[in-house]
Amino acid sequence: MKMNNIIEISDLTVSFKGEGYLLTAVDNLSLSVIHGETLAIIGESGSGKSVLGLAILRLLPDTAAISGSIIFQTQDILTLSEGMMEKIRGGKIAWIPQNPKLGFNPSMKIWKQVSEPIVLHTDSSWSEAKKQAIRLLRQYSILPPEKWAEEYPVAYSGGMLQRAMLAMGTSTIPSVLIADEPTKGIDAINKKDVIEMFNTQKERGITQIIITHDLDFASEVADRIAVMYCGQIVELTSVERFFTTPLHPYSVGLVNSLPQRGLSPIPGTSPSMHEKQAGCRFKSRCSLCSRVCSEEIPLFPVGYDNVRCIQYHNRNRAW
Amino acid sequence: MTMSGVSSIITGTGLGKTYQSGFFSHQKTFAVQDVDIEIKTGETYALVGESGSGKTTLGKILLKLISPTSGRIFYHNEDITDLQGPELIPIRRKMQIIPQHPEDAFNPRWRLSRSIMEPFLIHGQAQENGGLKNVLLELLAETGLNPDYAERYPHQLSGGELQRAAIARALALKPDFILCDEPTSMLDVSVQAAIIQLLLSLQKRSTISLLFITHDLKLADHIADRVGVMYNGHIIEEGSGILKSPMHPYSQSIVRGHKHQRPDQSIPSHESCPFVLQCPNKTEKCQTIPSVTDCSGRKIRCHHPFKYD
Repeated sequence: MKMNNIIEISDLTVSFKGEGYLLTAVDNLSLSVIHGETLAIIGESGSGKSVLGLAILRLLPDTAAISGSIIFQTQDILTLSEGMMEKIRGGKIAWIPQNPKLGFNPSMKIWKQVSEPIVLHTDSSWSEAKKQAIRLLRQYSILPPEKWAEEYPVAYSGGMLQRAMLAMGTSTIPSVLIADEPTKGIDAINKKDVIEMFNTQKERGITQIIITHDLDFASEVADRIAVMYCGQIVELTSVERFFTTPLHPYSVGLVNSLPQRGLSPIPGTSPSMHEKQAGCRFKSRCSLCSRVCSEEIPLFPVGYDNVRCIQYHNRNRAW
Repeated sequence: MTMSGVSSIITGTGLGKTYQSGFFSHQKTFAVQDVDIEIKTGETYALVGESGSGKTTLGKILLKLISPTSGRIFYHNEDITDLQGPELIPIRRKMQIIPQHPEDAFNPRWRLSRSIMEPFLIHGQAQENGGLKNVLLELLAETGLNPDYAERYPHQLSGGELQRAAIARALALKPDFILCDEPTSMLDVSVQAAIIQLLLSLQKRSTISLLFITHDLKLADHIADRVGVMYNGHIIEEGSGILKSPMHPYSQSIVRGHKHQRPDQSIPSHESCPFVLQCPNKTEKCQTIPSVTDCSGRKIRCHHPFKYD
């Protein structure tokens, strides 16, 4: 494992077996997350982003078949006992779920829910944890925190709940924070708050993995972008280069779908995950598809980036 | 009721909606306040604003899904404000809605064919459109859906496909006005682009007027002929090119990404400008509510709008 990597995922495959089919949600994926960076994993619904996040936290159901390795610091998460995993989950690696309304217990006061990870993962008592929870609520602009700490989730607006969720997620100062679609259903005003919060966490040195399909949000918070399509990473690049010179035809399609880039949709739909795919997964929608695209291709380096497209073999960004 | 030679399809004058809650406290929420709006035939009008600014309430008032507390609604110059029940049925045929969450807008126990064709049954047009099966296939083709999908259940479709089905259902009775309530906010960026292009191409083909509700100003600016910016129940700026040259201080704050606090909706803004507490341009004059004025082709509710050369 390289010194500056905090997570190294190698050959990770996650599949779910159904009646007469095998659905491969994450397909032989390798990815390194650098210490202190904010990595955005983008892609359309069903591309395997959330499954990847859940695999890192080992929160997938028993029906999932998982192979490969996920090295966190020096340990392979996939081989740890459940007892060891409980110490990591919520302590060293925190998870912010997609819907904050569903992430809170509706019948428990907010202070107790924000304090819970502190009590579970440190030696603090409930009264000490409550004081820390109130400090965190203040830090995330839930004002006055003493009043809001005593409220139940129902009294909070969507944006406030998202902030409370981040306060809870970072209450133990985790090494890694994984957030699943933190801006889904949030309006422009609240989105600015969420951007500010993620940037604050970045300054606190927390490594962040953000699963999102919101490109505007990714452009504001991420250092690097991993583009997922049909369970594979098709491009790994810096946020600047993703928006200025995207390489993979799918990345080009995503950027061109933005209103400020002409709102040009990508033709067709992604292939069914129930069917076994061969070669480039994007070939049925790609205008540059040729005979060679039926061959399997790995993610390979092109300049500073990594891309999974045969067009770049022996070529250097000559698109 | 015409402006610039183009007839208006729907007009609201002095519209207001106040909600009252609490058995004893009678707490009031001023959701829409003194709004004048005119949507022209064949135009795309986008309403932009943060959550709680009154966009959806205003859209539903225009559709007569909510009764206004004050003001009048005109559909093709006919006052429809006081119409009730059966009197509204002919108008309901012509005004449709595309929801934000298509998964909640379909009966999960019905096949899509039944949901999409339901408007024909409700409006008693089953006989006059004898070949219902053909109409269904036409609607599916028009919205880019595979004909086999007719026999599927909602859970068997993706979010984008289900939104296409919702559009097919909205088009079934050939409406001339469609309210699109954040139809793409839950969709992936590439699917969002496909749905919007579909709506715009359908609009061009059959001269439908669209009222597009969104909180994405970039999207609104790209697709709409005119944009109305809502704040605290008021339309505070209306016109085209707002993204490039916002004139109202609130519009400028959302374009520039400045932070501001949400307004207190329990206080009516009859007396002072609704944005006065956070406005960089405020003066003593702003303690009086500004009227809507024409300014460089825009309608502005502000005493001190920004000016551009």
